[in-house]
Amino acid sequence: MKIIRINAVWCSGCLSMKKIWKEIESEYPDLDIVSYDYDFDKREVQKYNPGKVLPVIIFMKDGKETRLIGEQKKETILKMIGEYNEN
Amino acid sequence: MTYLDYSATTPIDEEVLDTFIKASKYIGNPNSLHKLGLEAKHLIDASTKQIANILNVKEEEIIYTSGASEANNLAIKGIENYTNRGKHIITTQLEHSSIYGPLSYLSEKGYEVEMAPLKEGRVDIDALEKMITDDTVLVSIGAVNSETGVRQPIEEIGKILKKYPKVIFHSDITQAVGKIKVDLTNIDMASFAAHKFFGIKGIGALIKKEKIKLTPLIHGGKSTTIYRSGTPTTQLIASLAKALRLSYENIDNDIKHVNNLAKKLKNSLSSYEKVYINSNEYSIGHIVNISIIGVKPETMLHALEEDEIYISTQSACSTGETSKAVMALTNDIDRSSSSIRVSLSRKTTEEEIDKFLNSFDKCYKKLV
Repeated sequence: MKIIRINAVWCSGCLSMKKIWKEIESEYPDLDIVSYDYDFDKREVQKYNPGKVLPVIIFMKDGKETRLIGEQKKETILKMIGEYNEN
Repeated sequence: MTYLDYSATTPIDEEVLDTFIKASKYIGNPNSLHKLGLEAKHLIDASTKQIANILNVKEEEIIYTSGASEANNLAIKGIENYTNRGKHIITTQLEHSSIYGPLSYLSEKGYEVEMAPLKEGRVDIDALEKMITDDTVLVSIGAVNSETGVRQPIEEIGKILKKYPKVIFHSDITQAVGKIKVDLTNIDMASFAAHKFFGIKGIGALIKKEKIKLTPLIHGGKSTTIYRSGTPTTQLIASLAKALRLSYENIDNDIKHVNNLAKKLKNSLSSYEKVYINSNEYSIGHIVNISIIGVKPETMLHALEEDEIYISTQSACSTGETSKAVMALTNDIDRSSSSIRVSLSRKTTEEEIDKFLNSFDKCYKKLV
């Protein structure tokens, strides 16, 4: 499973979630998480057509893709990780 | 043309422009020791004294910047000077992007940033106090939200934070200065820009209590202050003082005038079935935020534009399809995705409000 995070420096939700991601990354050190900045990494970000609401979190595995849009709770992300890891 | 987007920016007042042009003739570098330099320095000193008197701060507490974004960056990034004091910062979800930008920068350097909870769009002061830890070094809360006009209780917050001498309190007062009275007594740092009150773009200030020592953004020789190097911009500083003086010379009457116009606007708009007034009793009269359910904000903006009426959707410096500020007030996704902002100033006339209301009626009937 791969997780793509699309953030921006002006996005308050992205800022709020930094603490959550730090915790998740330390609890699940094997997760493949790639983080892009909406403004600085335009070329990469365009590939994912993120829309206007940030952050965008994309879970990908074996061609399956699920998106979470906007600020999320830690439990929501952990639930998605659990679901993707089961499949 | 009917301009009702004063919270985004304001046109330059003719008198301010006149001051700028006259002050531009002071050709000397204020740091030069000759007569021309001294003349420019005297003009800057007089301007600084005037600004200090109006804001009731010390002259030494004024740091001129290019605007509020730079002032916010200086205040927040400058906190790195206090790394040994702590790395916990409290802010809100209602701030300008020039607050989140430097906070994101600090968070990459190990700072932890937390959002204070809100009640009816205002900071829950009790909850804020409970969030303070031994590691808290900065609290940054804007005085007035740019989208909804909701005024935060910054004076009360300042009083509470005095109990925590390690904590530095910063407020972005950009949407308050020149519109309402602001008491900076218990605020350690405050940022603003002149172009929000009929001044010129390119000048603003950070008001900083003398005891606070920041890491400068621009290092170099002493300018008007060691916290922001570069040749002092005599004409911009003089124009800032003039814009501020004009904004405060009739402030009580101006506030009454704007509040009356806002009341008329709200009363008329609330008669439409699909219109909700988002600005609440805490909002300043200069900002009237409404939602038109089922109509995209951009569609209404452009429909009004056809009648040469200029309003705005969300804050000019953000993106996204829903407004966090409106969501914080209403907890309603439909309202937060269909909001527009009508922003007034002391120069707005009743005729302009009538023009807006006539055009709005026409657009509403066409779009809803």
